[in-house]
Amino acid sequence: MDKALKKQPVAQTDEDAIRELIERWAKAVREKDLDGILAHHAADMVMFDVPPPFESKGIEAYRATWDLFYSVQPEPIVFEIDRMEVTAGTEVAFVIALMHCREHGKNGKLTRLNFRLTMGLRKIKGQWMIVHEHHSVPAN
Amino acid sequence: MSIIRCRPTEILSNMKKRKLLKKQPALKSDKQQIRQILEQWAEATRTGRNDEVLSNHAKDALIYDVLPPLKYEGTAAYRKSWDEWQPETTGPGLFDLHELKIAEGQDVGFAHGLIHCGGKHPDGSKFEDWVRATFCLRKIKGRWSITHQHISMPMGQ
Repeated sequence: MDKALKKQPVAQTDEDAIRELIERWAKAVREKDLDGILAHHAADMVMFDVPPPFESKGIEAYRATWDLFYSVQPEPIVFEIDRMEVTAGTEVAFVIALMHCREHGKNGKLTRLNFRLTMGLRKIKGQWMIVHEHHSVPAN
Repeated sequence: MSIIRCRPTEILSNMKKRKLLKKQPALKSDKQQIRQILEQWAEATRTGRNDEVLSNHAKDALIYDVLPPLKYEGTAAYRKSWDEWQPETTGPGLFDLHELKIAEGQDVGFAHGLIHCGGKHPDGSKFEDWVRATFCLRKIKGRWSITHQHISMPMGQ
């Protein structure tokens, strides 16, 4: 009896579920797994990305931002979460993070590129979905 | 039966109460409250009322802004930076929110949109730009406040 009880998973909070979802998303990016990247995005999501375009509306436009990302990212893909805060209500949540990838610096050297990430989520039919993503670097 | 038990004065009094209730301005929905906070922020920025710009921000708000640094932790640090980068302008400024979309729950919300900003330099030359903005909010003690703000331009633009 005790053993059976122990085996039961501990009830997951919304914040835990979202943290796990974002970590899986980042892993899918590293693995170039497009289906994994898009698994929890709403069809009408809006993306503000690091490079142009200014904004990408809808899941297909979002998918295209990853084609651009992979065309310039050195392999193996680095896409790491350095800091992440999740704030979840019952229906709406947001994620604030600092991340880094890499870029080809001067003289062809690979350098670390720090960027900011904010995500907005909604719970749709019991499942957290990303409806907004904002990635950026400060302008220089 | 219940009507018969009510005296006419009570009926009149109840009617007055109902009328009074109708006269009161309708309570703003959470979406309307968030929109109002963001419009107030834009207006204070547009009109240069710097002391009001952050009046609906949480003190420990994390701010990602257009120019470096990567982040500001808290409104005091952000406020201190303004004199360093804000362009010197003259006359009425442009700072309008467009395509604002708001998602609000009971006590957590976020919004995103575009900002059309610009103005006139003291030498008369004009400048104008578009930036992207995301706001994260929490309702604390019945009042929405901005706990995170992220404003940016695409790289190289």
